Amino acid sequence: MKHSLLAVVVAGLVLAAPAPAGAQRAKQVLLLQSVDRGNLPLDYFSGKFRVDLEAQLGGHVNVVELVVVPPGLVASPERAVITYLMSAFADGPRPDLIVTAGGPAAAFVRRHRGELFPGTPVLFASVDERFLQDAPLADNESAVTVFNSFAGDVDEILQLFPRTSRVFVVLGSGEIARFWRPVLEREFARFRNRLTFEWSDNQSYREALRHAASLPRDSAILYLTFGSDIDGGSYADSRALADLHAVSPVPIFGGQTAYLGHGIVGGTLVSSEDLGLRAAAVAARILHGESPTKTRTVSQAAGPPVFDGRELRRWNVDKSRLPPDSEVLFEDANIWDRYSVQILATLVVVLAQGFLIVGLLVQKTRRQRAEQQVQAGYERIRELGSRLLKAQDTERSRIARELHDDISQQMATLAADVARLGQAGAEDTSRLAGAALARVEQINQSVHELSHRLHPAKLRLLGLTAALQGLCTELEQSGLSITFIHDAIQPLLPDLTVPLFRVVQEALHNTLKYSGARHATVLLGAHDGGLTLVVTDDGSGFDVDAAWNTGLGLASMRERIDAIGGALDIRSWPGGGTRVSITVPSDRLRPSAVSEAAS
Amino acid sequence: MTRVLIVDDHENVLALVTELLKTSCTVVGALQDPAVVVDVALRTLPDVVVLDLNLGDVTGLQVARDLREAGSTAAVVMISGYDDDAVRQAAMAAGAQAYVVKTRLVADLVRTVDEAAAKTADAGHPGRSG
Repeated sequence: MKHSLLAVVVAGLVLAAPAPAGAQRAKQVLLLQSVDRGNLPLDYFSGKFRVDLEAQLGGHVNVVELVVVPPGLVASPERAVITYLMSAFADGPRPDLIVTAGGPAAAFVRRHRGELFPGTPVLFASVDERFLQDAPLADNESAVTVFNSFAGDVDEILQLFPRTSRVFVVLGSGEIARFWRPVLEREFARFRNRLTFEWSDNQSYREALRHAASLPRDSAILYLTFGSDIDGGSYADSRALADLHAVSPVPIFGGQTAYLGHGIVGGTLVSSEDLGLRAAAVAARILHGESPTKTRTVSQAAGPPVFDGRELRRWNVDKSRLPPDSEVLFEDANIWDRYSVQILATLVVVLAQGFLIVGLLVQKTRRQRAEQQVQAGYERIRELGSRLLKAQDTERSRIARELHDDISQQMATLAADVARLGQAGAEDTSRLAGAALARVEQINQSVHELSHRLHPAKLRLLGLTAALQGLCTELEQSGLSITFIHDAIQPLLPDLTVPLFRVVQEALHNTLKYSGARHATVLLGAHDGGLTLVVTDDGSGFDVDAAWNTGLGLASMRERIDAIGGALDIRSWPGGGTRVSITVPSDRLRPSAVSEAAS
Repeated sequence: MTRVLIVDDHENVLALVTELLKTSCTVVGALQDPAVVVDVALRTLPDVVVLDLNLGDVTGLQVARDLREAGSTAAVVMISGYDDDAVRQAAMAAGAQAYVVKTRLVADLVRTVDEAAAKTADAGHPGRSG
């Protein structure tokens, strides 16, 4: 009901608008629609008709559209529609032409022809010729009719699906259904022995859908239109076809090109657009003053067979069974066209998953590498720890041996000297005391040397430069010539001087012990606020990579330098000597309270 | 008599040095704690400070420099267990007048302190009591 009222209001607004100014008065065309929008064939017809008529008349046309049989109304208020129409045109120009679209509108005009501008020509358009069979056309009437061969549609069903034994005819419950049901029952009589027909005109929309869903496999649906159901609800063709297509287990047929693409299989179809073009041409001729009787033509029949390729695939119809010269539309709808959204969505998901998997693998690999590094670190530390313990034991046993073999023996001798001093006569006392003193000085020297080996006192007392100088001097006693070159360096904390001294000590000891070098150089340099220590020799060199894993020497050097934030670089060339270099960046050198003495 | 301040962190050495010097000198102090040396020296104005090189956390070199910086004109005689030229030179550089190895304290210390005091007296040390 809302739709009909809205249509009336819209029509009223259009009528109330002032006529466009111009030299030539615009032609007034009253287009009476059978049903509200939603009937696909009539929508296609009306659109084509209006556009083409305007084009033919160069825009000098005003089409007023009105629905004469509002959908959903149990009793059509025909009287009210007529009263409204008459009053609407009372003050303005009368219509130059009345055009009806569809059967019900044609029937409406025929019922009220005497009241509806009797002098105005009428064009019955887009109407099945059977709607007009009850009376001949008057002199000021013309028609663009169609012949819907519904029996021919059933023939086509049987041609494509020979096993069909049941046809569900969907035609709604409105005036169209009331007209067509008896007509079709008559025309379908010839299928009596082969087919059973079921009709939707006594069903609600839901019931019709349920019925369609429960059809056995040897069935088909013949779709005319839906319009309104038994409860008065109105349904657009596009929705009805979509719902039927969704629930139906059997193919759907329909005789209109307007339905192609909405789920019908296809066949010989009536083109609503052709009807629109033909009606516009006839309307233009009448508006130009031609006699309506001269414009009459034969009914338009269905065109050549056209099919929906998707439906043919869906129902496994072999194309060889189609009539010759059949056109198959939507054939190009390949997998990409039909499922592009799904394919893209799947691709996106797969790609996302792929990235996720790759990301996880990369992360896993990194973690494994990190774990391996940590593991290697642990092993290095464990290895180093075990070597340190061994070295500690060796060092302890060396100290113990030295204390026992040297100092302890000298102490025993000193004890003997002192004992003899107590027993000696006056003349021997002085000699014995001298010997005891000499012994004490010897013991002091031994203790001093031992202490020095354990920890160089000079390092703390005199600083790195003096300690290194002392070390070089001391090692030259062993026959190695050492050149010590140094810059004046800032005072350093023992935290730094001890490791640096130890590394140089270790490097020179290695030179002395293994390389056979005759000369070594120790360079202590200050640069950019940092510090460089380089020890080179002209010895036989060694395999640096192999040496890392043996003994404690190189490992302890590296640990010491790592600990103070410095960098250690050891290079050796077979027969070409060895170069040990240490660099300590400036930010690791803190001013010390313990000053360098040599300044 | 020469005024002597004795500094050594080792109790036995401190007692020995005091014993060696007390007949020829006036011992104005015998300290084990290096931290108070400068204060005591400025208060007691010794002619000679007998200073151990190795004072635990602090070196006698540092104390000698501190004394000089604080204005003390006392002669410093450094005593040490190290019989080493480099250490001896470092002591001299830090301001010591003499260096005595501890094994030679009995033989050399009294004479060395006397010589250091004499040098300081020649320089007109104001703290010398005569």
